[in-house]
Amino acid sequence: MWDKKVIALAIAAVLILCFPGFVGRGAGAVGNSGGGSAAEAVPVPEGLWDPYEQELTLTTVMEENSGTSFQNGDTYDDNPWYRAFKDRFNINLKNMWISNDYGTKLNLAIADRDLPDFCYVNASQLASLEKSGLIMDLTDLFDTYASDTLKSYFEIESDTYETGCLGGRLYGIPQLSYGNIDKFNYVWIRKDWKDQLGLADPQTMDDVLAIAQAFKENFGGYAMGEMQNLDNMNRLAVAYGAHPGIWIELEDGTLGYGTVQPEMKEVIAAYAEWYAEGIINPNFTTTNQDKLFQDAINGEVGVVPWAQWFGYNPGPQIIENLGPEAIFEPYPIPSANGAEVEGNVGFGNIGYIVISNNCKNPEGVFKLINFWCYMMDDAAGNEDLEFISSLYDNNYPNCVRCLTVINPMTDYNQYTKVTDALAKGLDVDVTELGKDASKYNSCVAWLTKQDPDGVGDWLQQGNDKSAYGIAKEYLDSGTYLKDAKWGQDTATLQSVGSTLNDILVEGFTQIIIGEKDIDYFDTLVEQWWKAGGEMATAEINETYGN
Amino acid sequence: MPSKKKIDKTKLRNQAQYHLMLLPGVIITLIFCYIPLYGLIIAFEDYNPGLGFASPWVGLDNFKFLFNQPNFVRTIWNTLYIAVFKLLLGIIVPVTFAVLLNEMISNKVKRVYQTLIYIPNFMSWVILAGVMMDLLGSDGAINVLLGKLGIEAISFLGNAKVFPWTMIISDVWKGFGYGTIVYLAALTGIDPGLYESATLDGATRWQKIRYITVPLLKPTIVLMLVLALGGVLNAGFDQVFNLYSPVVYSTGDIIDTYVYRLGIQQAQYSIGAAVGLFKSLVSCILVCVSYYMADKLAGYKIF
Repeated sequence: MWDKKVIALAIAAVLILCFPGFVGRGAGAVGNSGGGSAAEAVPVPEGLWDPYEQELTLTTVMEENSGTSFQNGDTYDDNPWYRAFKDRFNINLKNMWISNDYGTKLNLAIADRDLPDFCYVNASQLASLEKSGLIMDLTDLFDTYASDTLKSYFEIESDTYETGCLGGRLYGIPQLSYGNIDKFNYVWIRKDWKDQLGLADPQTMDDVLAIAQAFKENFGGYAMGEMQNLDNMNRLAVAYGAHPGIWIELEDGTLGYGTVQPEMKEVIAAYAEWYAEGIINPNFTTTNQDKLFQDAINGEVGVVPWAQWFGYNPGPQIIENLGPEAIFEPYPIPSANGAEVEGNVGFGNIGYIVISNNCKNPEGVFKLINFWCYMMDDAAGNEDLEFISSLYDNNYPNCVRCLTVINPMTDYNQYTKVTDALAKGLDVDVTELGKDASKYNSCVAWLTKQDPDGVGDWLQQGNDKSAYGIAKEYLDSGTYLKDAKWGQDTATLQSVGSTLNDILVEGFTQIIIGEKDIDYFDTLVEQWWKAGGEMATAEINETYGN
Repeated sequence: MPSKKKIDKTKLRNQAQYHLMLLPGVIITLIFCYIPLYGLIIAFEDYNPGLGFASPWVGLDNFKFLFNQPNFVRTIWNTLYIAVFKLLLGIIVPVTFAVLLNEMISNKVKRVYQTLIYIPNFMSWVILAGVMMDLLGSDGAINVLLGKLGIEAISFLGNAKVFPWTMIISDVWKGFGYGTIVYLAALTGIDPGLYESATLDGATRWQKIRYITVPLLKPTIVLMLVLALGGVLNAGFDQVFNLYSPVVYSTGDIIDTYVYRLGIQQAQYSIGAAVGLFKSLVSCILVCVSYYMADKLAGYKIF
């Protein structure tokens, strides 16, 4: 007969054994850490473009991007780029993990000291990694192994190169951005409504308001789109000569924050008036980006101030819901006071590529970056067009964000090439265009078949009335203002930046909805100054001032 | 005292299997609740993920920084305001409902109600927030209804005076089904003999509720209150975060949302840890006080 005690003991023992920590699974996971860094170094080939004789394995980490439409069984781990690396350099690129919450996951990996051979990080992660001695000094490696094309980017943007240096040494290769051409803002106006009412293109801010009002009267909804973070007001502020969100040189030669300058008071006063007149979305205080896009898709609003990518999102959904005539077209933000409008150009650097101290073949990372630059800039004419488009179609460049360094002139050059080709006709030979062929093709698809997937490219860079056409004029004529803070935030901004921002957004909102008088602006500036703005301004002047 | 030791030994031997069965639970608690307490030291450090726990020691600087932030004290007040009312209504409403349901004769109807009011409890605030934004917007169903009744539209989510109450009432609406079930369970434990004898003595329905039901529910109410008080500094992050906006910061910004913007968005771990520690300390004190009060006022003891 079974004793009760025996049964109880048996149950207890089973319970303990079932607990996974005791069967050694946890221990196994710990042993795996350190990624591929345990591998031995592989002999370095002589020429910059030569393949390795012995296969080299490099590890990285990957951000998941929903815009990538993988074809024929491709994945983040096996795609045309990765196959090209294997093919050209005998480098086997491996993802240690793929995440849609890249920043957080990477922070955890840093805390775990479990870094891949290389990855891209943000400015604060770069500083933290350097401080803890986990990453390599890349200064000499860059001089030796970077291709001429890669080096030429940093001749154009030497100020951005500096932001990757700590204590005068290069620790993170700045990934740059698609250039200043994509930083500007526009007034996006719904085409079919504007055509139906026979309205002219806006020349002044009053014209924009008149168009918005006319839309509201004729088609219902509300006149102009805005959100709880007041982003759109900040976009329109350049019409009044104000430059919110960036640091600018003031009359006395020092640097100051654009949002707290007197010009901004004028903008808010005007905005409060518009709100009272019912021009601004009456629900803006509870509207976020998704809601605003939803309203545009549902035909609730016909005027939205926005950046150059409005045609990509929500563009296609608008077409799906309201038809191809309902697209929104970009117009330059016109002046409100007759003075010339200067657009804001913020510091735009996607991230920094860092190489782990444990990486045995750091030159391999440079080979991959060189290859990326070569494909971007020099491949047209040298490579098979089919091969080029296999790398660029379906947003496949998302697969190699970890080694993307972008020619700051990319979009500018692309725009001129695509518009030139489109001006020649809709059936030009695209061989000369190289990777830009896919942009040309999607513009053609939009023009000939009204393909919704082509509308974003068309509105961004299809003709001289497109977003880039307008931006090019700002750039060519020099009517723009670069953020004086060309680099990362200073210490105070890092610690209290959100508080400073909160004070202003909350206060501005109260003024706009009429809870507070416009003179409250001065009180807010004072609060901002006390809460850390003064210290931040001093730091910015010290770091970035003359 | 040798004799007592001897007794203990036999006792221990007799209970060995119970201790053994407790072991997994104790180990899990140790691993997941006690060992991580070590991580609290980052609240006193200038934490750098790369350096880990060996980051530079800064003492109480993180706490000083936090309390010197212009709007932090305001968030404590907002948190308490929202949480206390949630707590009070979170008891009154389910108790009332439980008593009412208990008076219902048809078991079928009772069960249907029980299920219906319990359903919102399972929905995440991320989803409910979307629903509520549509319902409570200026052209949402509720304002349309109010308009039909001749009442001016109320900006439930955009008016700083109304916002905290929108949070309180919607949270009570979401959660009272759960409380109701707990109290209903307590009610079924009441001896029916008490009601029978009260009926014989000629007590009315109201008197039975007043003198039998409510007094016998008191221990459960106190228990729920003590448990809830520990979380009083959590006024519901996921709810507020999904529904608030800068225009209601003055009354709707709670500690957790404030710290989210301040710390987590910019990866300031030390500040986050400092707030967590601060909240835990306050909660710990509140739980102790409420436990003591429960003992004094209601004669209620768990241990």
